[in-house]
Amino acid sequence: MPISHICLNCGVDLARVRSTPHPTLAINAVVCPECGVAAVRRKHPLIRDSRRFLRARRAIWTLVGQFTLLAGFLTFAAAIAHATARWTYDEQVSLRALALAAVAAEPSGSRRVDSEAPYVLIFFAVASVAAGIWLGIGLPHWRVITRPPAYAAALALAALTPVLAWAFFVVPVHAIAGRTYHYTGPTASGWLTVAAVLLASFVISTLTLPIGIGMQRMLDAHRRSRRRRAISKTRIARSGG
Amino acid sequence: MTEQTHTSPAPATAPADTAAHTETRVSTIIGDRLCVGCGFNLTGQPVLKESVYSLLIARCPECGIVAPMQEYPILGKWAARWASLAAAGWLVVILAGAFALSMYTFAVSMAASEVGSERFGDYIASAYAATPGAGPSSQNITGFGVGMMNRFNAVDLDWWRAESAADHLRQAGGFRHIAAAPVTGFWISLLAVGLSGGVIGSVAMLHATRRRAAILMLLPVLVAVAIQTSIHVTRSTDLAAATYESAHSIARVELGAILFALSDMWMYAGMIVGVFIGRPAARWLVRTLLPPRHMSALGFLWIADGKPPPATRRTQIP
Repeated sequence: MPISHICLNCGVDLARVRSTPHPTLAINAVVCPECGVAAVRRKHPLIRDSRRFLRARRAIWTLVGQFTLLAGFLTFAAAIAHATARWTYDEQVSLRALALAAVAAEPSGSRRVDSEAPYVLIFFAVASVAAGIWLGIGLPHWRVITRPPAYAAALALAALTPVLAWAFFVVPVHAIAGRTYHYTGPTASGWLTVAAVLLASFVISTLTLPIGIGMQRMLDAHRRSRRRRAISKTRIARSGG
Repeated sequence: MTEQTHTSPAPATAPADTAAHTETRVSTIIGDRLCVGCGFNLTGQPVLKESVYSLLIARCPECGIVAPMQEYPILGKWAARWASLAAAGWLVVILAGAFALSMYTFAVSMAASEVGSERFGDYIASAYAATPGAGPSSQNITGFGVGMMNRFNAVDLDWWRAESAADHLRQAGGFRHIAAAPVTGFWISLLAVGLSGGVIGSVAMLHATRRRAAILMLLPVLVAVAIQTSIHVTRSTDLAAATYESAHSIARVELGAILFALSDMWMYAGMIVGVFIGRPAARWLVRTLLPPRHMSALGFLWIADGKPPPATRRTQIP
């Protein structure tokens, strides 16, 4: 049984009166069959607050998911870039040789690098493609033109994070202790390798961005058509035919 | 519509007004509406218009309580119970978070007091052993590390009481070098956890202004201070009553209070920073990462600080 809703003008219970869409405002109104005064359904504060809470909960989980995805993509790209710089330094191979070894199994001078490089390359490419699609789907409120530069800046920040942590946390702690902590990060050529890997990730993500935008538009169109179908279904059900 | 005139049942408190008080039946309740007094469903009861203010009312046939029709129909007893339970659950979550922060502060400050007093303990043991007439006797005391020069060697407290702790600390290299340097990692962790706690706390306590939230954040620190104080007092009392004690215990008593205080200070500094950057950071994250249709659900982050809520229509950044 519906919850009682009394017309405040004449006292008729509007519980069984169907609400109708307002011709111009995006609200549903209930018109009293006795006096003609229109009213809107009043939601109990408990129900209203619980629905508001559910909406906020959904938004918070979406935010957590978005943040996790962004942090995951950035961390993965930065980690691969630093690991590549470390490999090229440790094994004394060039980035080009490493890339060739990954793509064509060409000997690069190191068996370890040869065996791991193809898998890393596949993961790296998949992650970069996924990042591009996410940029298209997950950030529809950003202008298309500003998404790649913003992502590039985020990639650079992620790559620099170990150095910033070293500069602002590790060095001061050791300075207080009266010790010197030497820099153990990439060398100048290592940074070039990091930049090259990040650039490759950025290019792949930017190239796949249009796919994400297309998917986002498809999802939007699907959502709109589903909404339209639900509205027309409700109208047909109310009109009895 | 049927209209009838009723004379209301005589209320016990105002018999004089009753004669003039009439109620006109205007309609019938056909939806669910529970009596606020006894929970009886008023479906089928008449809706009455009372004569004084023309208010629409209904009267419960079971208990006689009048229900104004302008009020929301109550949802039953369980709705209110669930709402109370949810509020109590939220309070428990907040208190559990505050307790976890207290325990973290206490645990890390204990570790800091242990680690921070180790070098000074070693120094006291070596100074005691180097004192003519005192060193050999310390080797005869049973305990961990007998025969070795370390902080677990027992020290004659009469000798220690005759010495100046400040002078020894200076000779050992000073507080910064001997006590603070080994524990800076602990303090950085306290700062980081305090920062996270402050950010979460400032968003969880939206009703509180930043100043009030900063004061409320003292609560977990004060709990930790209470436990630290009791431990420090116990250690000091034990030391005062003893004749021999390990060098490490002496160092813990001498440096414990300041190591505890500095640990608490780092924690609270992180919390204060977190409180002040928490809501702006949360708003920035929401604006950056959430589409507008989700953004409006978190509008309370703006409203709490008196700012206009974010636009619900599609807006693009920047």
